[in-house]
Amino acid sequence: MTNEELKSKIESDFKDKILSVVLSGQKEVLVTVKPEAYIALCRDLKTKPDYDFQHLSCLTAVDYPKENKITVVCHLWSYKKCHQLTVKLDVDRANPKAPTVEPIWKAANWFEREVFDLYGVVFEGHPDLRRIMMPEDYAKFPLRKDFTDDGFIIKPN
Amino acid sequence: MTDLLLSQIKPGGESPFGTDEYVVNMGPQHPATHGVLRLVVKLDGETVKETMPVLGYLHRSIEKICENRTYPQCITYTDRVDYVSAMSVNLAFALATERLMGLEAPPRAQWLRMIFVELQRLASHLLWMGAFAGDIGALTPFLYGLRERERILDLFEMTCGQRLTYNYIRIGGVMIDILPEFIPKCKAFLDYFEPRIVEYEELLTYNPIFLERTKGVGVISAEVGINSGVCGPSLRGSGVSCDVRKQQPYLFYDQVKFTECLQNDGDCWARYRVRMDELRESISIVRQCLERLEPGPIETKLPPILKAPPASEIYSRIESSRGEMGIYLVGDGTAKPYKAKYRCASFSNTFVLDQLTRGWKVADIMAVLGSLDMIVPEVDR
Repeated sequence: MTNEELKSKIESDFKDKILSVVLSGQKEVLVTVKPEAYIALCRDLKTKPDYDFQHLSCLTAVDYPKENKITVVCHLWSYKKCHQLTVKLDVDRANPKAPTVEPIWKAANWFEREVFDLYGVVFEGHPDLRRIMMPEDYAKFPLRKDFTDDGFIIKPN
Repeated sequence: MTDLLLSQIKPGGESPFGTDEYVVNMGPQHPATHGVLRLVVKLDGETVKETMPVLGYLHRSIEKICENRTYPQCITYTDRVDYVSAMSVNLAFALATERLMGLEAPPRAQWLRMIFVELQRLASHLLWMGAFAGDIGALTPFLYGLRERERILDLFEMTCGQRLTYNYIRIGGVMIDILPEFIPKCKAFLDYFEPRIVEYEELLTYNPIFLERTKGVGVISAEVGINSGVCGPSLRGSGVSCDVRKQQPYLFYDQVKFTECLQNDGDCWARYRVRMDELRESISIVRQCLERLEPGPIETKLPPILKAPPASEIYSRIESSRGEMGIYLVGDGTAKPYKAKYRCASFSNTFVLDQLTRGWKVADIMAVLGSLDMIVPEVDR
């Protein structure tokens, strides 16, 4: 399936579950999902043979303080169909909570711990949500854009 | 007294004294953890009940650093993400940036990139072979592996002046063209190296002690492997076709002939076999690239300040020596990445360590950890 076909297929199959699906300038299919349908969409994408996204390649987040949101980004890959998909979920920046996809892809376990550690997004239902990179008693979220610390100085170029 | 105590232990039954779980800390300073990885291992006698990797001892927050550096400056940091296979990470970042900005390197640069990345794969697998064999008690292969790796590093040094952190593959091309004597030296090395693989295999592959330590140990099924995000040679050891060079070809990998090395057992020995087979495939790829190399420019003309288009993003994957390496870049119209994420093979491969070692003996942790080919700076970044 080419990316154009994938885009139109997702558009028709999951009309009620997604907010938007676009083909980016780099020809990648980007899906923004409705928060309440996130888990259902991920499960469908993995189990339906037309999509077959067995491999959660990457899960990360991007911080947008101006729009007051943190976007959780999942990159999916299908080993059999050889196509790629990006699923995005916007969460509120003041109270970042997202459901976990760990029951669907076990690989999400550490990815979500990392996002929790560095962005402070709480994944509800995660079996072992602890900090993974930073010390356990650390209170800040380093990859947020407004992060400040004594040792962290941005030098002008 | 002893007889009295022993008589209370019923054969096959529980001990009347009560046994406790025994918690052992491996690392962060441990010769076999290949860096500063800490494993908290819960033992019942000598049997592993749980292995909890504790990460972060080498966390330098390279992703945060990259957000505050321009794209070309980031390349320097990518060397440090995986210092055993620095060319691959250079390439991953350069390719991601090029795709984000719609640039393309000229053909000669692409062939050069392939040569160096495949030579790097040889060097990385050689070091891995030595370290893996060393972990489970065979020290000779380490010396053999490093002997040949030196000659690869000599080739790198001749070209870019560095032996470990090259900073050679740049956005839009490569740093500098190869010297005229590179091609004969490289061919001489390949001719010298190919028979050496037989030597390693004689030392290890059917060695009874090696087989005892690796055959059937740490088995991972294809399903569990895919679901847990295992990638690269470790997953190919379970028979899953997952080579990014085949599935999503980049550079000119669709124009060279090579086979994807697969094994079906999914144990430590299968993972070892996959990497040994990959050595031969990489030699063949380098030979083909040397044949196809033609004179031409080695870099495209770049604008004075490289800026990504606003609200653009890319997730670009390559097959590094350790497996799938993904770079996620978000551009916001400035000269610095708004977000740079390194998806590293070692990170997801280390995750399965717990599942693989449960129920095995404590000494098998070393075999399993070694066979996954993890490298700590890539896990922690």
